[in-house]
Amino acid sequence: MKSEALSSIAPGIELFTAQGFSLLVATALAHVFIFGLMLYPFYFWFTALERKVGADVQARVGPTFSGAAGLFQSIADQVKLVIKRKNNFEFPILSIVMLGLLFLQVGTIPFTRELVFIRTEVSPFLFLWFVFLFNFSFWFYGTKSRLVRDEVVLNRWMIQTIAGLMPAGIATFSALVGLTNFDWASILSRQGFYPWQWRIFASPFEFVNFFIFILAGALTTSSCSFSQAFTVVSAQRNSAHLPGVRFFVLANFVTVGVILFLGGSLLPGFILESQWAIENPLLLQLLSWVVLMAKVMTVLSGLFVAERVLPQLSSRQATRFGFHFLLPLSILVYIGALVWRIFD
Amino acid sequence: MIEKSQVLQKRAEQWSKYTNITSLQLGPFVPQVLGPVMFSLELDGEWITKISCETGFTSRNVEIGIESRAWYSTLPLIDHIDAESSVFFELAYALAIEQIADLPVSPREQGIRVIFSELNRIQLHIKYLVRVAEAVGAQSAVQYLLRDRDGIIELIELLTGVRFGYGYIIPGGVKCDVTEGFLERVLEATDVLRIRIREIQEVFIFSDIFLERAKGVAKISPEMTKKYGITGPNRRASGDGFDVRLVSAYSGYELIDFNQEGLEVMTGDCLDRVFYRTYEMGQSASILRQVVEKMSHYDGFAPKNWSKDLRIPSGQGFSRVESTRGVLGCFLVSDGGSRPAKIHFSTPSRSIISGLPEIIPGTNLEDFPLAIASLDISMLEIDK
Repeated sequence: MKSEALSSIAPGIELFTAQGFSLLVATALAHVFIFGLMLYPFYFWFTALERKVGADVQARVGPTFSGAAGLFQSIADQVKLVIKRKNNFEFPILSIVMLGLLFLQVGTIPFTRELVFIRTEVSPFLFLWFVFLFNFSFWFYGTKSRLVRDEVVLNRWMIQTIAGLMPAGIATFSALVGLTNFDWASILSRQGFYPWQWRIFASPFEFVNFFIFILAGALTTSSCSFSQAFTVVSAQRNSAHLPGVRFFVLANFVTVGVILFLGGSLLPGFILESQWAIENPLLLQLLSWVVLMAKVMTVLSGLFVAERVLPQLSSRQATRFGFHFLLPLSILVYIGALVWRIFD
Repeated sequence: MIEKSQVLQKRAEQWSKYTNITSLQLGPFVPQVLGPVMFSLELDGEWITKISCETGFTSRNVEIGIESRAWYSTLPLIDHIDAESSVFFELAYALAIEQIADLPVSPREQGIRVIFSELNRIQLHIKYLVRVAEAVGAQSAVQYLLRDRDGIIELIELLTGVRFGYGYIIPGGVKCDVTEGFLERVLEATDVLRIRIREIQEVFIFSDIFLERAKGVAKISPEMTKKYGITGPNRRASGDGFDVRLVSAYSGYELIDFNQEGLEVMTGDCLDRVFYRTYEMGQSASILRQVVEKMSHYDGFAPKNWSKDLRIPSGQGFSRVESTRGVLGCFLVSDGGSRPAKIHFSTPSRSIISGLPEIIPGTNLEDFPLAIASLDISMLEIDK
């Protein structure tokens, strides 16, 4: 039933659907690779741009030996972070396992309508669960091993993660109102029936819902486990590892948000297959990637600029924002979306 | 038989398992403090209950070094006590020597000194705001502020020839006259500065996130300032308008129209300290404008005899100037020889750091960087 639905919306589905476990993993890895290949240069460029602008303001030159357009500066930074850190063996192993899981779940997200690798009951909630698991594992490990000495810091970051993930989860539920199955295939089959093919124009509640989801993502990923929320404390703790991870998870959030609310790889009011009469599935796929990533990068740029302009929220402020504002709002929006669905 | 003290100790050990008190050491490199310092914090949950500081990481015995040098070669060392605010050390030192030797300073050179001091006060307050903005992660504010600071530093470069370690103020006056067009550029800079201050207040200080975060953090009461001898902007932000430039004016400040009135509304918390710095920058701009307007009436710059065979007559002098962090005192003794017999600087940061055990407890751990940045502590002044 599901494969029929998919075949009806995506002609090239038979070609690119994975059969068998090894092929599944291989295609998922390829998926992650393409995702990283398209997003990370953007991140590197953005970081290099930020450093160059900062240097220019201060009448400095900025990073020079950093490759074309400063693209390798971030890699150099990351390598330095890893090399300079003193660690036992457990922490890197845990990091690799958790990061591997986090990276692999990208394979389950349908980036284009022609490319659904894992045809199971996988839903958008898997991603939220993995983010929770990532934080929980480090919280658990840090508390038990006393590697991070302050339970205060650990508890704060866990609370902040929950404060971000709960509104995000409820926002996802609201986006799925009216569906019997919560899997990606059902979500994709529903795309394209709204103005501009964007779900945010379906109702005012959906419009608010998108911003709740993206803000909740920014809130979750600004917790200590992903970035430096504690300005001084994190400088001496293991929590300051790999800000690139933060970018990756935030990009994941935005991608899921774009697929749920902004029509994913569909152009506004434009269908590639019919209007351009593109029949080559590979070309279709490539164009879909480009459209999706353009949307993701636009939203990410907006988030980055907003983050740079505003002072950083303290962890307490962020948690309060999550629990006192985003969570009640998301519940209200969920009820509103249900009522809208009944009377629509 | 078990003694009572042993029973109490055992009970305390048992209780310590159930309390949430932890200790945390921050340092010796804390980004919000200029120079190395080690903070030992005791935390109850996430609230700081106790703080102690370990200093002395950059102790250089500069004062002893100055005492072992000939008069003419002391200036570079004076500059290196605190490289950021070296102008105030130069000024205090020069005033002390002028007091001993009864050296006259021409009005034009006094005006130049005031211009130099106020330009430095502005650029140091901007640097202070940069540290505060970094403590709360306001990256765009940092860039805006550094851009403005660079404009001021360019003016200083035009005046002294260098951006750092000036050696410009010498006993009896200044090293050289202002360059052509300098005064006009100062006037332009003051005009621009008024716009910039407004801009920074809107972008950074009056943003809701910062207002909520800084309000009520690490309060200093007026009584506390008197108890620990805290002076400067930190004291004025607590509502006490004490200012050496007004109380015992030096270098021609008595001719300038400015006051420190109406500060009673200040509560002495982190937000007021940060806001007061921007207010004081505007005040410095107004002082600069007044001095530049007066400068056209004064002329006559004479080169100074500041050479190897210089001798200062025996005697002792004490001068105090309003540095960017508070009152900076210089006590100088000369025995008529080729080098200073005794020199001692009393620096404002020392009084701030001695007040930390009363100021910081009750602050959230997260707000600690902000609280420390807002106090404007320079370890270079303390470990001189």
